[in-house]
Amino acid sequence: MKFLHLVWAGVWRKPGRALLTLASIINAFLLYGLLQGFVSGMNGTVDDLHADVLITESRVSQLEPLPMAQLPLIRSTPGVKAAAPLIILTGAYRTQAIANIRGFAVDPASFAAADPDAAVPAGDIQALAQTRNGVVLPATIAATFHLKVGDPLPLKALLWTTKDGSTWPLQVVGVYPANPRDTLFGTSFLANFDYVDQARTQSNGTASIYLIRVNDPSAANQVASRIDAQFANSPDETKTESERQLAADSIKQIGDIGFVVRAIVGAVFFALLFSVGAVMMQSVRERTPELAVLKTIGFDDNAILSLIVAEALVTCLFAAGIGLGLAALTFPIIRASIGFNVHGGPVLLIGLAMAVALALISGLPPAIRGRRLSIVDALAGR
Amino acid sequence: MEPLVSLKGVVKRYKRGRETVEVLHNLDLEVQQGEFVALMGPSGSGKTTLLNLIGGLDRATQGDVVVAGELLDDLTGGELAKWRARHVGFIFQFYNLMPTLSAEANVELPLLLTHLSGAQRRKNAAAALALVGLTDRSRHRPGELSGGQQQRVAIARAIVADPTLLICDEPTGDLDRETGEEILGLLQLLNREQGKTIVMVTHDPKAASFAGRVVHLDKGALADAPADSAA
Repeated sequence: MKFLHLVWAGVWRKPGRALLTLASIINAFLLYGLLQGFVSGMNGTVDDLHADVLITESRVSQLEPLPMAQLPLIRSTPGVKAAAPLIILTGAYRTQAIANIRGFAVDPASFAAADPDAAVPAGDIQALAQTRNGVVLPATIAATFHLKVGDPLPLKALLWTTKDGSTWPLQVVGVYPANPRDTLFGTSFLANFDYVDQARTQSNGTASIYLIRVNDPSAANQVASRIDAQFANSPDETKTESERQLAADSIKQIGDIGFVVRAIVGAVFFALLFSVGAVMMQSVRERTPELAVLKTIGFDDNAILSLIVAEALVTCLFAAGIGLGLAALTFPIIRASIGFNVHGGPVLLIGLAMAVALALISGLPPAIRGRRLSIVDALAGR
Repeated sequence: MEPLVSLKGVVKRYKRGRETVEVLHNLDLEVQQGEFVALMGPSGSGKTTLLNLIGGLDRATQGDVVVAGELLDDLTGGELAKWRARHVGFIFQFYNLMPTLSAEANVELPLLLTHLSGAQRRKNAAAALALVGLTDRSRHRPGELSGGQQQRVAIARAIVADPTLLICDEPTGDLDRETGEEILGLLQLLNREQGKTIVMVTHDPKAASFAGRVVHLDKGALADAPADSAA
């Protein structure tokens, strides 16, 4: 610690150059923190999904309905704990502006058995079961659309029309605390399956998807294969995947975001390595007489090497700390705006490790040069 | 009494490209404890090379250099650095202070290599600055000081660790005559009052007159005083 002021003075020897160097490192680590935070949030969200929950949909398309006759067969498949039919009921809700609101029509009792997060309290499930056109929704949705228990929720469903052609006259019967881990139902309202199925003009007696819970998460893939095998070569072939796999597949459809982020961050750090290395080399070259004086008064070769490496470490860790700190400030915003649960700790730790690596790679060549410095030659200006 | 500095049969050769140049030829020299010796001679006579050997900054090609009871050739690079920190204080022509550090922090530098506490280091640095009359300038950086003041800071840095020997390479070469004489007076004071042994390289006969003994070098060997420098 007693050498810290000496190291710090070396960092700020040329304030303009120091500021520009620090700014470039801060920028690089801010970019890394933001991008890696986003990827970490995406992966974290997938990891947080349940391995014991399967979703069965039509092999043809998610919009192709599945006959309810499949439900008893699914329930009797070995390894299945519970299964619930769902109808996708996303639609436009008229507030001051028209906004889409995501929803599902569910059978309250079977849904409660199949939902592993059990986000909907029993009282709300009961209220839903007792009110034919009722809906229950998480507090986050209620706050967004300014809804409360007793309010009407007229919905123009994207897929289904009522038999009289009007909007769906839904009514809020329950608002429950949102579960941020529940990415599937945590941002959706729930309506009554029977009501929606009977009131729609087409596809009656079908489900959009089946929500299935298995006994053993490690056997989820085998259970999924068994379910799909039952309906192979039938008019309604199914595709069953775990909730986690489904989310991972959806993300993959966008592209290999992890690779893209790694490529961008890699390119930025490659460029940064050269610029910081060049600055460190120049800074040490300018201070040749000063380093020679330090050696003259008793600093040995290793002390000089350590001082220069310490200077690189202080520069990189100080700037990286600011960059990563700024990135960390955005993590709650990412979580709140797109629901990604960013695991900040590993992102920041890896960032600091990268800062140490950057410091060592860029600081060691000039440090070795400083270590080899001949006092006599340096003092003579050779 | 054992001399503080003893050079016997010292030869120093340098490689300059393909050529090998012998700068010092079979040189013998002794400096007693408490002496103030001025090394004089024309450019290229080997004064600074001799000073570097005495200060442990360079090694002799041949011969023995014994300073403060230590045969310097026997020491490794690390040991030599420790030895310099303990026994030698250096004063250069161009002060060679750290431009980003205050006068006090510059003076404190050699003490960073000791086990003294921060408070003790600052106390010793303040005492050294007081000795050279710069207490009121301790917070100033070198760029905010005059040449004479910078050389005083350099002297304070050289004496702060209480070394046995002070090595001065043209300490007044960059100063006007009046300031130079102040600095030489200060060195004389350190020699007389503090008992510091001083070996100083200078071109200036007036500066050499502050020393107790003048040693002349010519073409890498000790020489008699030239007739025109008998000041």
